[in-house]
Amino acid sequence: MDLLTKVYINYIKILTRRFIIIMKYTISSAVMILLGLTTVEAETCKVLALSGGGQSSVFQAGALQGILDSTANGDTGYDIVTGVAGGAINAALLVDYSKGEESSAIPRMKSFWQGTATQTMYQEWLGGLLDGLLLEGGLYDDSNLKAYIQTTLKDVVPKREFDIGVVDLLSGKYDTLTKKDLDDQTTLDKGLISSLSFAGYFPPADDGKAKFYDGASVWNINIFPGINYCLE
Amino acid sequence: MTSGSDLEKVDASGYTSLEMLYRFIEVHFYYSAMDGLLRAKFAYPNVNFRYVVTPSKSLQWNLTPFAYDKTTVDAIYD
Repeated sequence: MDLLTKVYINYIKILTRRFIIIMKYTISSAVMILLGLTTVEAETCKVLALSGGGQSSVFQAGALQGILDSTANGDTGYDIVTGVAGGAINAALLVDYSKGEESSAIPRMKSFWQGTATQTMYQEWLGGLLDGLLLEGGLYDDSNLKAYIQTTLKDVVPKREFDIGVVDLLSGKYDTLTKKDLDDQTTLDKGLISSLSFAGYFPPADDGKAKFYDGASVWNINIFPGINYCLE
Repeated sequence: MTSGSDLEKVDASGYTSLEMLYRFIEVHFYYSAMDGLLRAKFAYPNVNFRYVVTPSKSLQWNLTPFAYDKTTVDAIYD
């Protein structure tokens, strides 16, 4: 039995014993998957998939800098960037630059996460934790976090394809926000607010029609949309 | 992954409920992230997965989100 099979079987075993997960977002993943899709006749299509995570997603900025430093020019020109939760924030900052300009995004990625460490991102409701537990959609009032996202990312204009994974609380379905979905009603900052709406801690993001949490409760990393985009 | 590229072994003999829960979450997220990758590899055997980048050791994690100070954020970046 090879290692991958063993890992997969162990995972299935764990799932069968799964019980209610609380505080799941306190452990945040910071995984990056970099794919190179090649076909015989076409040039390589590159995907960067950024996993879920909170502040630990700053790791992705550092790792990307390391990759840029150690690879040849053009090797990190990603055609599409996908992200979940904190990885979605990094993805948005990356696609604000054209393919091949990844290095320009890294200081902004680092700065965003530094900002979350130096400013108050959330607070207790007026009635304290009990208020959050019994009357609100989350333990804490994250209006500061929402304002921070809107302020720091309001000027982002995607220059290439992206895919951000969120979960529709009402339907329970995994949903994605892509470049073609954006319009006056569906803005990138709303998708990003959803991406940092950690269930239990913060209320879901509400766009008037649906309520969204970050996508990590379904997929902690969304590789498939990137591959499918390249295969198209 | 917060748990790093490998899931760390721990001595859980003295763990209480909360520590047990933390450990469960740690294990769950390790495999949750792995699951997405493994499924993609199974589904697309011809795709070249060039790099999988994870921290070399587990990152500090906390009971509440956004609990890192700037020093910790900078350390994770570096």
